[in-house]
Amino acid sequence: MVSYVLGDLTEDMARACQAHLDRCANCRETVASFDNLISAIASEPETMPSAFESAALAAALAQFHVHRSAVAPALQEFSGFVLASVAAFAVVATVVALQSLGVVSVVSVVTAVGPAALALTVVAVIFISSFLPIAVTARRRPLNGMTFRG
Amino acid sequence: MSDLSDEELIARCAGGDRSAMDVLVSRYHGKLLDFALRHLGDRETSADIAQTTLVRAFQSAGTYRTKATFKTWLYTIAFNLVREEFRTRSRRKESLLSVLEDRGELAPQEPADDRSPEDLAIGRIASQALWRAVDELPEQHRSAVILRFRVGLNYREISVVMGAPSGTVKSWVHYALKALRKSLEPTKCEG
Repeated sequence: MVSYVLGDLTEDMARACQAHLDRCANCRETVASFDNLISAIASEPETMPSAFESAALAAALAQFHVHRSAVAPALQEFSGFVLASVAAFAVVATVVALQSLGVVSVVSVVTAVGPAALALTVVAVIFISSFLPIAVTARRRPLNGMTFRG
Repeated sequence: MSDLSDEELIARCAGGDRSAMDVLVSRYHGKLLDFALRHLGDRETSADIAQTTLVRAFQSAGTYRTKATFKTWLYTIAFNLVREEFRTRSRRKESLLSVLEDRGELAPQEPADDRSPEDLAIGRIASQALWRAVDELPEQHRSAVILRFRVGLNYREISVVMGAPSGTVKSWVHYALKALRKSLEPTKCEG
């Protein structure tokens, strides 16, 4: 009868069971009691979160939200470009400093290594811009300040 | 937003959509709390598990794949936390009924209907008897019953959540229903 109530019987078996129920009051009572039992379990009012529990969840998710959608994307978008710019500035500053000390002249440096330096700079900018955001994402903690159970 | 499916909402959550999270929270926070409370009978721990389940789900939103429904995936997280809690406390033998009675945690959930105080009292006693019987079921049978009839999952979904074959889950549900009916049978008055 449990299988019948749960709808686990094949069509033929369910039909046979129904035919039996039509003439057996005891089995009808059994089916009714299983139906009532399932209905009682399902219809018990759902436990609602208290205001405190809702607020605690909202606070936890707010931290999560800020961390994911505001800080990290900004870092991802601009960090590669900023770092590449700093690197390029450092190279130029070094050459200018060496010239001012009389060690090299800018003209001779540009003439000698200009094409190669230009190509290297382009490659470096592309490389840093592509891989730095991944590194930032990997370092990002999943939930800043949250503790998990279990 | 509220007319979107769970699966569409969790996809938006993966992109950091706050309003999608809010909709999923409104759909599942109470259900997860209820799920944990029916197992553990401890409000504080249950609230903690409900919160952790949702936070973990949003944290892993990017890894969600549609092989299972979102609901199945979410309850798998919750079920594992409940099972872990059972292991941690080695099932402190504190009956669900005694917790509910002592703290009156389910009492405020009475539906606002027009039943008389007597009918409400009878309903409360019947409810306590029911959940006492559920609490006395073996752990896996209890989980299968809760997932089937309170959460509304089918056998295949429950088998995913509990990590057991569908046939086994079906037999747990059958066994549990028979046991519940037996323990709730009215005692015949012999006076």
